[in-house]
Amino acid sequence: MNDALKELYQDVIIDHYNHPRCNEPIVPATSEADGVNPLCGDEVSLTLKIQESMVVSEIGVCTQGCSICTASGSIMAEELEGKSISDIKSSIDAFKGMMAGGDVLSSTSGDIEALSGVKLFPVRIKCALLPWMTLQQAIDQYEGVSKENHISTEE
Amino acid sequence: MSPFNRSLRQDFPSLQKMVHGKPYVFLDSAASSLKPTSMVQAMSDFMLGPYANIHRGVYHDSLKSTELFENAREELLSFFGGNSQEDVLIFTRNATDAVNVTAFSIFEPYVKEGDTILLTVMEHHANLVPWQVLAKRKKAKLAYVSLTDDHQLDLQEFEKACKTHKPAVAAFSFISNVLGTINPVQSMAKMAHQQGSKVLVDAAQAGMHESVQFNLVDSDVTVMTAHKMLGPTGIGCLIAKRNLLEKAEPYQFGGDMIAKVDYESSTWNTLPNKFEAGTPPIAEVVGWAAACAYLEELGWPAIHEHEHLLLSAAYERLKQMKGVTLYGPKDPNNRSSVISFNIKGVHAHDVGTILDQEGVAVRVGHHCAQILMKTLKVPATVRMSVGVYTTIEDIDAFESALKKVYEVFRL
Ligand SMILES: Cc1ncc(COP(=O)(O)O)c(C=O)c1O
Repeated sequence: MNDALKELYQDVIIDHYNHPRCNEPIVPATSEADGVNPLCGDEVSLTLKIQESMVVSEIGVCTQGCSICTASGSIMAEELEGKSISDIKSSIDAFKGMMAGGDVLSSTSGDIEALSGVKLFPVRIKCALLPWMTLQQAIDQYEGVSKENHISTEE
Repeated sequence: MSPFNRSLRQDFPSLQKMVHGKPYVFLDSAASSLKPTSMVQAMSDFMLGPYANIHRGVYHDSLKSTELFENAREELLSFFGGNSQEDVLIFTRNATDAVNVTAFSIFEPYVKEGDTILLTVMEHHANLVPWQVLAKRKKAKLAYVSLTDDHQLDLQEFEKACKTHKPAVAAFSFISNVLGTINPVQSMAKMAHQQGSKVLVDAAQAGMHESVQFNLVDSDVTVMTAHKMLGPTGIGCLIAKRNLLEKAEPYQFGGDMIAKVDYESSTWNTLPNKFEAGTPPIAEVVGWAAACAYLEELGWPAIHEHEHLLLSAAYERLKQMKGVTLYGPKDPNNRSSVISFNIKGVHAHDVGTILDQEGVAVRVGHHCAQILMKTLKVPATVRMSVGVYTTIEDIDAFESALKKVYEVFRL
């Protein structure tokens, strides 16, 4: 395996892909959103339980997609569950920044760092971003910023 | 042994490169083929030589260019088995454009409210979306013929659909760009014609692999695209019966397609010009004819033998690999040019990325055939496809690269 592939398909990624965490839908959900990448057919269905204290106590991410998209959603949910909406928003921004070539995010589990290898594969960045964009949409909808509960990487 | 000499690869300079430090292995001809030097040379000789706009000038080079352009049209028509007495070849941008011209101009008057447009589930979006739009506009219905368990077109269902719906239009592909299925277009055209349908055959995927003999198929319209058959991009065509085109209204309006222009209205030029508004891609037409000359020189029997050898080898090796699902007919005689597959537990996109790192180019995704993906119940497939320049070493490299997928995913 060459170095770029090693960077992309780290053990952590393969593990999250084969055993995605938080992949049960939350019912009833406080907010939910779907995300699609029409170019490759990846689909993310996201459900949230948000407390009055503005803490996201539960995240459900169901992904139909490639290893990068699935692992990214799994890592995201595991990392952000239990955090406040404002912390989550800054994590989403930081993750987008990392994909755009910015600083590598540090996380409690150390798993988000594993996604930094995606940067070496520009066509796969959208795969990694899809769950995060979908989470953003669910939050925007909860906060009334958006009425849409559907996003696409191609809009 | 392939009938082709190794030196044939020299005709395709874009093969002579390294990708990610590995020799380039191109297995995506179904998306677009590579280009032989002779084709590019023909275009460049023309553009640097007698180049001028056609059909207008009275001077030497304009006449020369017009002659080259019209000769190329003749050569292409005869390459596709048409004859200039009965058939007309109209240049379009590509196959997609040719389907649009057919849907919204040539076949349009024959589709009435409540009529059926008959398609198959294996159609490329190019031969599907235009019909959906036409059906909406006309309040017509769409019907889709499905597949047998062996991923061939269900011919019985097709015949039944023809009899029940008496479709105004039947549109189907010669070769599926995902399954590689070769459709019995001759029988299909006959069944549809017996019910009074207008028939379009999408031969885009056949260009470099099967001889398209318009006269034998007996379709009303056949559409082709140059870039999948060693030719340049930006040029395609439709071949249709002269009397059908004479009755049809033009698709686009402007220069070249008119006979006389007055303040309020104009009259139309004769065929084929009536359907070719504006300056056409002249050099591309010249290049396309050169591409066909290249194929003609190789000869269909040799092309078939060569591709059969490579596809059979690839198919056998894929069959040996763990967890591989193969799509398309099992009998190699019923398939052409492509093999689609998936590896259990690995998404097609991951396979594509890993193969690319090994220098191997394949296509992954829905291949512009989302209805077929729904029928197969998969979001995507990996597709490898071959061309005249593919070698058995390419298939070896493909096989080794696939082993990397198993390594990466710890399978
Ligand atoms: C079966 C089939 N039809 C139509 C097309 C469209 O060809 P073009 O994009 O050149 O118009 C393709 C190309 O992928 C094809 O495979």
